[in-house]
Amino acid sequence: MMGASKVPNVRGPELAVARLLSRGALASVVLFGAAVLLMLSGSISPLDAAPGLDLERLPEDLVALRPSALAWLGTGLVLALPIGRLGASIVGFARRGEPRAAIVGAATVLVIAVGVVVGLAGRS
Amino acid sequence: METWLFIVAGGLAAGVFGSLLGLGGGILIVPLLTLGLGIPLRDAVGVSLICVAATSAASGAVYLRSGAADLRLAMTLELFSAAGAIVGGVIAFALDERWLAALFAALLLGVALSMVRRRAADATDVSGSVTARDKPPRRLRLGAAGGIAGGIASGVLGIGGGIVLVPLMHMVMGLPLRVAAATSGVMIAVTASAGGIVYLVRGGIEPYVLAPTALGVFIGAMTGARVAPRVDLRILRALFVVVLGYLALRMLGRALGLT
Repeated sequence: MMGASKVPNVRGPELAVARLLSRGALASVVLFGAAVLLMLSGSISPLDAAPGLDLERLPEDLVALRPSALAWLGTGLVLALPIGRLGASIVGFARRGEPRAAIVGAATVLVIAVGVVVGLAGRS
Repeated sequence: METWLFIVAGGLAAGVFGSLLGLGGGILIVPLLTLGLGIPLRDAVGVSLICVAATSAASGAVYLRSGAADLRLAMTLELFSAAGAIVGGVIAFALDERWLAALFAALLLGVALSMVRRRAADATDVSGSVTARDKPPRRLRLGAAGGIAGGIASGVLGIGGGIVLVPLMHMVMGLPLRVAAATSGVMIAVTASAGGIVYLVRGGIEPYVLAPTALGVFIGAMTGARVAPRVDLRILRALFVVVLGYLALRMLGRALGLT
């Protein structure tokens, strides 16, 4: 599925986006891996109740190397990657004089922002 | 310790199988967590969406570098699949878990049936050297409607949506199968993330379950991609059909309140 045997000449937004995706995905997996190691060292089971996401406490929990904080950071990175990818595409296409593609990308970012609002609105 | 082994080994298996058979891992992650560990179905879907988004980001990078994926088309369809995924996420929180289980059982059966009917020619087409520039897409409006459907399926069931998007781009929009699969692979990260955000904001993601599952799925997917050329997919596909059939029955039992 991921193997590419032939590499044609791909330039512009595609390459910048590919670089962002591969590095970001690797960073998120490193964060999940670190969370797993900390869970193992702290005898925390995957089925134990985890603290919910608290953005105000997150920096403090990260400094304290709490596994849930690393997992939340990894989650945030995974969710931010596609938005970053869209941002890189928007800039790339705008620079190449393709405003239509850039506008479509911006509209998708807007849709995702609506998703956050919809999610927050439905919270009890 | 058994929980650890189960979750990591299950994640690895989901990643390897998904990668070898061209599926996102979601179709295996959700039953693994729900039927194997007793995690509520909605939480399993939330975890699955994050795992799918992470692996899709990595595979999307490969597809873009190879020139197989059509980034412009991906961005156009993502607008619709992301909207669909948000709607799907909202639907999932409104539905009773038994209905979710019934829908998932139907998905498992559908995928099993499509694998039975799939011809070996598909696999050879995917490994060809055609690039996204070779054939422009057509019927964009139908593609947009299908994108919404794929997004809803993703948000409700915790899958990438490729099961809808690949046939849509190949059969309706006229793209070569390899380009359709690659473009779908790029889109899945955005689609799954849009749904995942709804689950995150509504408290539908368990970080202690997510971390080992995501690690296993990611390593499994990378391993699967490397060993794919040396594996006899016919045997693997037959085995997978049996596994999917079994999981569908178990999920149906859950929907009917039998387990």
